[in-house]
Amino acid sequence: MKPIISPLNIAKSNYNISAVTTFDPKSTTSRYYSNPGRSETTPPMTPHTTDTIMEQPELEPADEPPRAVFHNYLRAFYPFHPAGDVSPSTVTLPLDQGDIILVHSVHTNGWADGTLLDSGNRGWLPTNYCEAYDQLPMRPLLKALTDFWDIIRGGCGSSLKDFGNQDLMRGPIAGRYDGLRRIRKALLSDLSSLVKAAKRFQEVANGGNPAEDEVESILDEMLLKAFKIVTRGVRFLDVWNEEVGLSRTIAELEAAGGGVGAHKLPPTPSSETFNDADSMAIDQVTERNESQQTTRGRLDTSRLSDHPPRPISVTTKRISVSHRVSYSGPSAAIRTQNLASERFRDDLRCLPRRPGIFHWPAHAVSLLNRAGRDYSASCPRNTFLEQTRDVMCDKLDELVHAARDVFRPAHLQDDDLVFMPDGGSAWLMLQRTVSAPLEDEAKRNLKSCHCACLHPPLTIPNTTYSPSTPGLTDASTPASFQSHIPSTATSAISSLPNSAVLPTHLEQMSSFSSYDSNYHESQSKSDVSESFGRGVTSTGSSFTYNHTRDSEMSGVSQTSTRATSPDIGNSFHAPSLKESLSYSTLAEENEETEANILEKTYAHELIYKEGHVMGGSLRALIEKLTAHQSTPDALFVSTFYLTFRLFASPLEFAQALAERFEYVGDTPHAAGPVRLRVYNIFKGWLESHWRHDRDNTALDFIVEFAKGKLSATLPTPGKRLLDLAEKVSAVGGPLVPRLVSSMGKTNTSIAQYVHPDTPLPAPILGKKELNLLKQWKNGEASITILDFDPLELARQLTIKESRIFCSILPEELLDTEWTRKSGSLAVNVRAMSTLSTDLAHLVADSILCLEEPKRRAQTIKHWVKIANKCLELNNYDSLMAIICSLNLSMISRLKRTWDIVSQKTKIALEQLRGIVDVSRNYAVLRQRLQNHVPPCLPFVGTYLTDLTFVDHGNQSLRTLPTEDGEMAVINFDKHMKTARIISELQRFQIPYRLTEVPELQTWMQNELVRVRSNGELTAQTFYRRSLVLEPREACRSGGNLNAESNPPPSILDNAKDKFDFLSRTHPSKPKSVPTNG
Amino acid sequence: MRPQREYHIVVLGAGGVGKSCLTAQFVQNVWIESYDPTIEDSYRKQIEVDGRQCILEILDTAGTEQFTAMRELYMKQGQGFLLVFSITSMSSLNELSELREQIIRIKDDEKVPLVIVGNKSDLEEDRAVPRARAFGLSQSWGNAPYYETSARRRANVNEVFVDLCRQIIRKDLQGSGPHGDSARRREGSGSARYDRKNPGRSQRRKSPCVIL
Repeated sequence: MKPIISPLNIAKSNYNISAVTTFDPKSTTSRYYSNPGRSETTPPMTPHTTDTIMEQPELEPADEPPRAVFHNYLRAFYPFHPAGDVSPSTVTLPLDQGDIILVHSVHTNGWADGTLLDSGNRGWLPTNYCEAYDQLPMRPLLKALTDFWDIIRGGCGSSLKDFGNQDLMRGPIAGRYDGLRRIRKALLSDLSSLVKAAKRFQEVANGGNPAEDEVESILDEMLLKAFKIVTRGVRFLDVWNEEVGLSRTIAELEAAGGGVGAHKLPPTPSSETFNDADSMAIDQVTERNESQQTTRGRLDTSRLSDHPPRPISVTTKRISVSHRVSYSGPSAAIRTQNLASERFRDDLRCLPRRPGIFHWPAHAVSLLNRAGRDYSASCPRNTFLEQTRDVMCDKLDELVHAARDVFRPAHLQDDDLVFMPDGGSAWLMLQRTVSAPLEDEAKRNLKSCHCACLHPPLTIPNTTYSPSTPGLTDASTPASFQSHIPSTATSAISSLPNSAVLPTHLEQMSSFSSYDSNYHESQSKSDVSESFGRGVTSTGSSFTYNHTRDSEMSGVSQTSTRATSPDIGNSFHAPSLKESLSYSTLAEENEETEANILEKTYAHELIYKEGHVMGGSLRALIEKLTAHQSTPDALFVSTFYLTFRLFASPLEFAQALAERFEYVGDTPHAAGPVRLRVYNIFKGWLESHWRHDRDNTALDFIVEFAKGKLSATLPTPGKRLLDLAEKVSAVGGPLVPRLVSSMGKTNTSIAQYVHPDTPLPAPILGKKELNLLKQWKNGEASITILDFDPLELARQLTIKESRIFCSILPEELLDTEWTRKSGSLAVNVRAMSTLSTDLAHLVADSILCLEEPKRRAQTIKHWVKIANKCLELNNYDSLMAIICSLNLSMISRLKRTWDIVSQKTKIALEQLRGIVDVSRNYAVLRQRLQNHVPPCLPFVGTYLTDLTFVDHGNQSLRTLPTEDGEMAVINFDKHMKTARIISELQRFQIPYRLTEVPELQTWMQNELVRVRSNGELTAQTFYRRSLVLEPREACRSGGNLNAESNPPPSILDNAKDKFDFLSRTHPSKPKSVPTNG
Repeated sequence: MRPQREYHIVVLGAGGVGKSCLTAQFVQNVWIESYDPTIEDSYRKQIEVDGRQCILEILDTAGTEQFTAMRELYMKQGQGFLLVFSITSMSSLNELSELREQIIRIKDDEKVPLVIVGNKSDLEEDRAVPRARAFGLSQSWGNAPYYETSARRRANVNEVFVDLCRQIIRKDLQGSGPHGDSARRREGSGSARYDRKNPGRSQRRKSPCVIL
């Protein structure tokens, strides 16, 4: 296959263009499109990038795969049946070939959190076993499913309403209709069963107060059915492709390609501004692009969800889009509280609003006409464009009608499932009509622009608008625009030639947003800004590649994504903790406002430095953890979970949380979100951060709290927390197993993805070697490292070490746990050091056991080769052990041996020494690791030293000057540092893709154990052996080359030899060593 | 001779004796409230010894005591050694002998610059190592200077490093002169005595230190 960096290979698709435009949760256009022509390191995240592409599709080499793209669907290409290899604390998803997976998040290490459509099971799966599934004909269907998932799992409150309106149902169905245009019986029956379920759901939803459980189960059922449909659809497509062949698919492609183009809608409202401005074409082109974006955003929603942009649902959707990965956002959850009543109200409210909304397509057309006129007037030469415009206007008229047709059934509140096909066809028409002329126009546009050297204006909107990225697909939430624009306005204005344009723009936006905010009853403002915050971070969470813009933040939210608990059924009402914490972006900006708003606060008990919390009292830190508006970044939260036991007892932590829950009641407008966050913190703690050895003392209190205060205010979360507490007390391990390394991963380094099709390297092991191993097993032969290829030995060492390294838990690294003399919990860290020491001893042993210098030299050469291969495998830990061992005085003093060692080997060794050089605080090693791409086995020692020094070099308390003296507060910075180092280590906790050779492993293990059995005396035994092999120069009669030794051999050496032997003969009295002094 | 030299000092000792505290206290600027050990300069410090500017690079094995094979790597780098034990743990004292043997073996030098440090002198009530015992060890090691320090109270921290640095400089200047050893030894003990005579200087706060 082609060499690509992307974890997901989509080149298998028949449709090359589909490989360029990628799939996205909210729109059929790719939101996270990666332009192959752009910088490799920064995956573009603006949808505008897509614009550029679509305007010049022929310019883009279609076969060059995109680099970093988030794919919503994967298809397994290899069966994956996790055995013991993966950590037991991981929920992995077994895959069979051809399985379709809905992806919630992909971690940089290549594991993805996904739901298997076949079974509805959720878990972690290796993306390198899969490839992106993005077949064009299936796209609408897949998209619909994503939406479906988003709504059900994302915004739970509004989902009922959505279903009540049945709009949503049309999504999948229309999509299917559009995409396949062939109806198979199985598919249909699945479809009808989904429809049935939907109907039932509608009844339930509209019929007063449904029981939560019932709603939940129906939703689950529907989701599973939807999964099934998609699965069937995929199979159908497979069959279809096989039978009908390429000619058909090309036609399909064209049609679908048109569908994609539908997004290129003409400019709408903002074009009005052109009327007055008889400015140059340059402005208009610019403006055009901008307004296109706006329009498209709006159109998208209406198109995609098949209903007008009803603010609530849209808002919820944007939340859910951002955090599909986790579950619902706070706003959705809040709504859940008074779900039943509000749902109904919303339902009613939505109705009258709709017709008004339907006007906009018509409006759009009229505006378009004007814009077109203006445009053509200013570019009189461009007759082709004019033609196109006419065609487009006609088509748009059609579109409007079609759209009305689509929406009519919804108005009537009929059982509009009947009309589904109509809707579908209308849909299709819409797509076609709009896209056909537009694509032409776009090309045209581009050309004319190039002619007139209008290049810059064309690109400006792309850049200025980039902050609005995440929102754009759901940009129909006008509020999101409103909040985006101020932040970008300055730059936009300065870069636009006609600055008057933008304010107008803004006005329009805000008019939309005011309309929107009617819906947010209680906390409209904060909700909006919050959703914005989420929107921004979402780039990070659903799009797991890092980008530079808000690098830290997005990196962070990616973390939280990862930590998401893959439980399906339960979290319906429970906004997952990590997710709610991942909305980090606005934290800093909001801090001031928040302080003003909060009536009771301990914010003054926090110490800040450069915007980071350096310290604070427990209650102030808790407050920060559960801030009502700003959201703490994920590192803050994970640090809390990881380290709170170092500065507060679990009970104190629980009590402080409960206290926060209590006192925030004084601040009514903040109480809702804060209380939910408090609940979320509890939930996350119980679910995945509970340490039974330490935290059980707090369990009673938590149960009390859940029964009492929490249930009184938030009955459902209260019940849920109670359930969790029960489970925690019943289950031994964490309820929702997290990946070993779920805590950290805040790093912004980008993992190198092994190409999914890269086969595991075949072991370099011939028959001869295997036979030898067999004989050794039967005790018939002895073997040495010389019998094996250095690379293979390095690989097996790497596998062995990597396994231990990957299972190191963050807890092991806290509070210098690993240095504990007895009862240390840090088993894996200890195993690491043991293995490292054993390996070093094995190296020494293998050299010192040989009588002949020549053979010793051979063995040294072999070890240097192995070390070199370890370096190639990025296995610094083994490298360190081997080099250390070759450096040991008992080895390095073997002059006769080293004289035989070739210069080449010596040079190689010298280079390797340079890498593991300890001076300047391992500067060379650190430098190498800094930008290293996993898989990699760093030398664990540096982390252990760093952690020790952070622990011992920083006080646990800080003094905070107050009005009346000073108070001691928790030095949170210390814990943040600890967490950062741990996350740095975790960054590398990614297994290697290497083939294990059990026979060789057995032999190696046996050898390691053998050298270990010497115990404490190993070093002394080795030294004695070394002296026997090559006695001190002075004792030798004719030492030929002793020039290298720095201190000339003297009587002292003799004495020392004696001394060394003496110390060995009296190991019990090491202090009675005779010395000359 | 040379106005500025860089010396490598290796801090050795059993786990939990407070080596890292000692190093951190020494290296860390008092005014910087947050210590980050991950950067290159985390273990470097410039000090003035007898009018000479020296840069000390501290190699501290804290946290990696279990990587015994790694020890030699550090020792090879070092020109002077701080052998640290905790006055609250006899076993930590006993472990020093093996370390010294290893150093001497590796450096191939009996007279390698070395200072014995009894840390945690603030925990006098928990003392498990009588001073006489530590003193005896010092004698058996050719009167290697012995200091008692409290990293927590920052008592005698600088002094141990200065003493060690002085030894290294002396060795540097003298080369392998035959009289160097005794001179150094006298000087080493002299400095310790000096401290005892001026308790105000070395015995900050209330920790009694520096015994010979």
